[in-house]
Amino acid sequence: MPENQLENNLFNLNHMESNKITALLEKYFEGQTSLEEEKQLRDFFSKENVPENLLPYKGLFNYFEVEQEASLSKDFDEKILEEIQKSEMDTGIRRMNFTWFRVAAMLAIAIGGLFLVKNFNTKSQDNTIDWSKYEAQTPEEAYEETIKALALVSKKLNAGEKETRKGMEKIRKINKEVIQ
Amino acid sequence: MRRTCNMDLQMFQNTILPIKDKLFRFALRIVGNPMEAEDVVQEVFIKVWKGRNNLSEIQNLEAWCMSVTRNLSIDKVRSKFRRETDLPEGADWTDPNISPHKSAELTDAVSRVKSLMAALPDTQRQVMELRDIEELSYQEIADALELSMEQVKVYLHRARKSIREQLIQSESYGIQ
Repeated sequence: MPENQLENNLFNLNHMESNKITALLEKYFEGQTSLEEEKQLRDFFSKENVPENLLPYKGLFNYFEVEQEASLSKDFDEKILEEIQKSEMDTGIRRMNFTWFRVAAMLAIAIGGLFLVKNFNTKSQDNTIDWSKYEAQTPEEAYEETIKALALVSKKLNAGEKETRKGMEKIRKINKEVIQ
Repeated sequence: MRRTCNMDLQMFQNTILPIKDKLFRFALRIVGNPMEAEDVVQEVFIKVWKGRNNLSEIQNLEAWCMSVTRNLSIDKVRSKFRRETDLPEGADWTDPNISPHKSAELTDAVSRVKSLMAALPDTQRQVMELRDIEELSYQEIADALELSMEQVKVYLHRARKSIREQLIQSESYGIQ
């Protein structure tokens, strides 16, 4: 009868599936199943009518499915995106401050540089001696300066002459003693 | 500049946000409290976002997130433990990770597995959870828990074997 045959086929199909699952289970407990095969096991055990010989494992695979349902609150995405925007704004402000800091630093260097250059120029002018103020302004002054200079020379020459006389005196004494 | 920021945000929404529940569950199993687990995930994501320019150095972003989640969760448990050592057990420790609608779904068999899982040594339990609940590859589990692939396989095998033995045992005693 066709109805019986259908039942038979269904039985065979279930039997085949149950065999396949038993083999998969062995593989599973050996730690040899792929993620896909593990999903097949979970799917199989989530059905209502699990063959009796496989019932002890139903709880295990149902447990995995129950655990997979635990999830974050619905507003989590919103919260995290808000946090991210906040942190982004912080970085933005920090970045902006840094830009201003750089501008300020550049200005400081520029002004400092200008000041230094200016200061250096003035100093170098100061360093050159203005001899003109030592120059004689009138002929009298020039005369006086000349006298001063000649007096200095004379003094030095006199000092030399004195030394020479002393030396000559000594020679004369020696000569006298030699003659006597 | 603005454009790259938007692109990053897009990337963040497409690749990082979808793993939020996975990270949440992982954190939840360590800290045992949904609010704190959510805080952990938020911290992880902020960390990812702030370090987004260096993410190219990380080979597997998901495993890296798992590993950060694990470390932050452990820190949280430790600091909580320090804070609460003088206090009696808080009410939120009783069974915080099961919402009312969920606990109704928990059949006896499922609760039994839950307690069997809880009794496993920590690493065995974590490896099995990451595989069977979070559907991570062995390599990803190894990265997340800082183990070798070989260790992951050994722990997984031991964990499943131990659960199986106890399931069969309870069956033969008529407990289910």
